[in-house]
Amino acid sequence: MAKSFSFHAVDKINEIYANHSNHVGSELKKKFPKKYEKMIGSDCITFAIWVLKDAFKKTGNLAAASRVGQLGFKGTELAKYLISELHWHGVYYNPDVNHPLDGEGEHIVSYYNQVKKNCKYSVAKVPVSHKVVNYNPSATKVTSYLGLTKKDTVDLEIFKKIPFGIGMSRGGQHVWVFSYGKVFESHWNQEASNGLYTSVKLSDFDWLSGIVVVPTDSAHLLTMSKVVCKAS
Amino acid sequence: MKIISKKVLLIILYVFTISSACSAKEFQLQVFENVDTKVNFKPWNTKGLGDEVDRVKLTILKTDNAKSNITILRWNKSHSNYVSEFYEYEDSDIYSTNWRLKNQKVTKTLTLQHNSFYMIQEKKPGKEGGVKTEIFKISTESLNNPK
Repeated sequence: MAKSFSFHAVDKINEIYANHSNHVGSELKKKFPKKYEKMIGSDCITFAIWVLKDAFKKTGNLAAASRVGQLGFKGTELAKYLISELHWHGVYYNPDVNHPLDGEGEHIVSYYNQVKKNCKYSVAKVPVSHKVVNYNPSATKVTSYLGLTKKDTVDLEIFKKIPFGIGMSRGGQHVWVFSYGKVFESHWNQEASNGLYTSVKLSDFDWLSGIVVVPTDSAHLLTMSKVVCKAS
Repeated sequence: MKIISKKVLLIILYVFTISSACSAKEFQLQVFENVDTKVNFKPWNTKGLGDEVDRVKLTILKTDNAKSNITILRWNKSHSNYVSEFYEYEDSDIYSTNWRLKNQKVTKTLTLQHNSFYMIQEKKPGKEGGVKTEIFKISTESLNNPK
């Protein structure tokens, strides 16, 4: 049986993680052009685009491989393209919808005012169909009139079975790669030997809300809670 | 002299802990002293790992078993003593091995990133907070095995 999109994407992540001694964070390369002139610049969305392009090429979708390259400037535009044109699925994540660890209201607003009301994420209105929330609630309150959030890891455990997705946070400001419950990031201010590429568990990830866009070959694994909103 | 005694005591305590836990199989204790560690801090919602804010020297106690728990000794300047942090092994995959700080009020994770470097992360809650990241490398060449 031919390998599906997600598994080509996982192969590409593995390839980059195993061999990136000639990579450097794009901000460092910009800051010290002479020092890093022979190095390949990497950053969050560039890394995501490399993975997507490679998987699209290997599954014969050259038009999509070309298109995602053009959308590398803005995460939410990339997400909207993948969802509306290629029928990918938007999964909203938020470890605590009531009391974000960073105290920022945007995580509360993104859940109650965007996802729960309109099945959309961010002002860019990226469609969302599923949610993974409250899996790592804070120990202290941010919203005084709401009780502490009850921990629920059921959806997170289901979500860990998804082989691949493209993640984005803060309305697409930060883009990353998701695979089997982990977040893979390229840090634009790091050298290859010192933290350019890292992986952390989604439950420990410090960008506290956002979406993961999941390809169609994983649709049968999306058995976590669906987003139910007025728009649906 | 008192300082050295306390550090030695902590190492002996660690040896005792792992030797009783791993009695079925012998694992070699590894002590990495004065490990140069880069400390970065980034405010919430900023890309990258933030700016370097400090350099510290850590003492790392582990065994040659990749899944052993890890103890980190940290020099506490204000109290002039060593503070020990006990990281319990959690899980691993092809990308990383994960430990979590136990029995402390703060939440810290320790990960061995794709067999290359270790990364401790601590989230500081609140709007003025962010993520403190400590990165260090240890190699068997720098080993100081106790007899």
